[in-house]
Amino acid sequence: MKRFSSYLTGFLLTLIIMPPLHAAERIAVAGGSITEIIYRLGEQDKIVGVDSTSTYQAADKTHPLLGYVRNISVEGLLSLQPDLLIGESDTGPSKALEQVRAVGLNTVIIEEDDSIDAIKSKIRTVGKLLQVENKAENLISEIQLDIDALAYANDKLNKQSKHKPKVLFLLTLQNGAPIAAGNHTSAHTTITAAGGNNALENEKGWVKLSPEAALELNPDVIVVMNRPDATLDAVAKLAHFKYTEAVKNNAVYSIDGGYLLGFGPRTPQAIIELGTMIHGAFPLPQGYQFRYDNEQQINTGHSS
Amino acid sequence: MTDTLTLSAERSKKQFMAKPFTLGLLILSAILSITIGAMPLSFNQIFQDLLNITGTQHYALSTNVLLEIRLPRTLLAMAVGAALGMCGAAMQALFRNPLADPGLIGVAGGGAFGAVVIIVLGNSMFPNAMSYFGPYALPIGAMLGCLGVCGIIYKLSNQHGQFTIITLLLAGIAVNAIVGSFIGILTLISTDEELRELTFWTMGNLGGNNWSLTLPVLLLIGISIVGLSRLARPLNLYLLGEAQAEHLGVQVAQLKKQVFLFTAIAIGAAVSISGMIGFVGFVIPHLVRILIGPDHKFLLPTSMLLGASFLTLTDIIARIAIPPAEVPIGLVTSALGGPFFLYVLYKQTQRFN
Repeated sequence: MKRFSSYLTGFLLTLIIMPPLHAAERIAVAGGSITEIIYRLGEQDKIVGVDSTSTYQAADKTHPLLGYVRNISVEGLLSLQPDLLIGESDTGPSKALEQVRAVGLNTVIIEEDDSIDAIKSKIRTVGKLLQVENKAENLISEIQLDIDALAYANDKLNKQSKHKPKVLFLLTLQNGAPIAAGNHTSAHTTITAAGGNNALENEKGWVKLSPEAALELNPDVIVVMNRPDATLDAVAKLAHFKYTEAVKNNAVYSIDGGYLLGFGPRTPQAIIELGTMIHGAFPLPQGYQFRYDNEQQINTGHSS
Repeated sequence: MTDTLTLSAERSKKQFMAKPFTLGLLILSAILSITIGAMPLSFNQIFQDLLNITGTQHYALSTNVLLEIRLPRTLLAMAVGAALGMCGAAMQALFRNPLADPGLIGVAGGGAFGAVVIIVLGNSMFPNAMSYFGPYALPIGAMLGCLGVCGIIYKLSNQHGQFTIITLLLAGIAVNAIVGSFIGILTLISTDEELRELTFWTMGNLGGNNWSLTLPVLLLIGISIVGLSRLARPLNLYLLGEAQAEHLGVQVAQLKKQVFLFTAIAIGAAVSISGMIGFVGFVIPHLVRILIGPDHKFLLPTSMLLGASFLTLTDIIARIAIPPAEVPIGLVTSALGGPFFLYVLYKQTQRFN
């Protein structure tokens, strides 16, 4: 619930920060987007441990694993002898963080609000902590390309003034009980940013859908997280979606969760990709092209 | 006849040995728990710091880890284990039923309910209190949940000064079922992260507790342990039957209330800070009873000491199994305690065939 209130209140990052005297050399990271940023800054050699959400370039396989981001073990963390802990706001439990601070480890928690602006300031913060401000600014200007392209596309779409497609974002299809994104979710933010309407915008948080409720929503497009193969078949099989516009028009897609919802450096591009899924024809500026490889991006609809 | 004689002689020898043996085991496991961990400590440096040879005000990292992390954790593991072992034995006596455990009087369910309310509703319903209490919110919530649910069960069982066991048992089961459904409702509306936090809570964790969280728990558990150990003689008489105990001068209703109260306080305090640690309160008293018999003068202290050693040892395993992460301790206690208990049980039944 804390995340929701931070959406409403904050645009900027709030830092609880003890300024380091010198650049951190051994960094423990709790939070996938921060790991991604450190990799993109080329500073991954300084990482001594990551949490289980740090899936970018399989960081969770190459570095010692601290466990789940909300359940960090104090002594395990200290045994890696880090000189800096950077975490996202859900790093916890809070009593463990307090102990880590008491022992004297420099601990920085980045309060985040899952917005595109927040990505930039997150990169700046990490760059400052690692004392690689120049690299951070380079990365930000790279992302700016995506942000500009997104603004351009949305502007064009607004001028065409077609109705916005209704998009349903599913976290999982498991056990025949799909869980969908309502408002105040990271998925809601990305759908809106990609010029779509969240089909479930009247519900708050992640909601388990009943078959009838899903049919009534009747989304134009369905996007499923982390489902590389046969998305359309799997969705069409469920009574929930069998008769929806999305299934009728083959507008069912899959996208990688960390790529789109991580709110790291790749997210602006991922939103553009989501836009191409939602709108079919997403008017991008000339010369714009996808730059990051996204291993799990598989498109099962619109194959013709 | 000779058989029973040798059995009882053998038993009294075991009873005599039990306390020193388990005490030794406890001291050994405490030393292990302080010295073993994911972080290698330099004891040379610690001695220097503690004796202040270097004359600096700043302690080395090793000293901080020892004083701020290992020591409170070891003491907590010992206290929680002691509480679980002793209260388990007392509960089995109170219900005169080998299946009884502290969960029956609502401590586990109440604690889980308090915890889930804080985890799921805390930030949205009382954000001010949450930020005021910080890391103390969850233990306080769990403790209040425990006390509330135990209080309801106590009130329901205590009709006209009669504190009958069958009412206690049935009221406990019914109230636990109601609390369980409340937990279910809150689980339904929780987010993914909250659900995950709750799942971890129900698997127990002794880590991350600083002194200010640990000390009140140690105090509450200490009070209850002293209180319970004074009840060994009346509990022995109580095992003969309620009427018989009454005739032998035991104030049965009061005895039952005292056992209830001390158990609720000790386990409530333990659950509030360490989450739910299963199986210890059940398996330790049984193990001790199999080994040294049902005399509470020996059963209670031995269960306490063995419970403390067992939890301290399993906590070491939980800490070092998958560094730098940790295994929830509830998983280790059940995974190790279960097979061991089965082994002893199997050996025991073989003897009679």
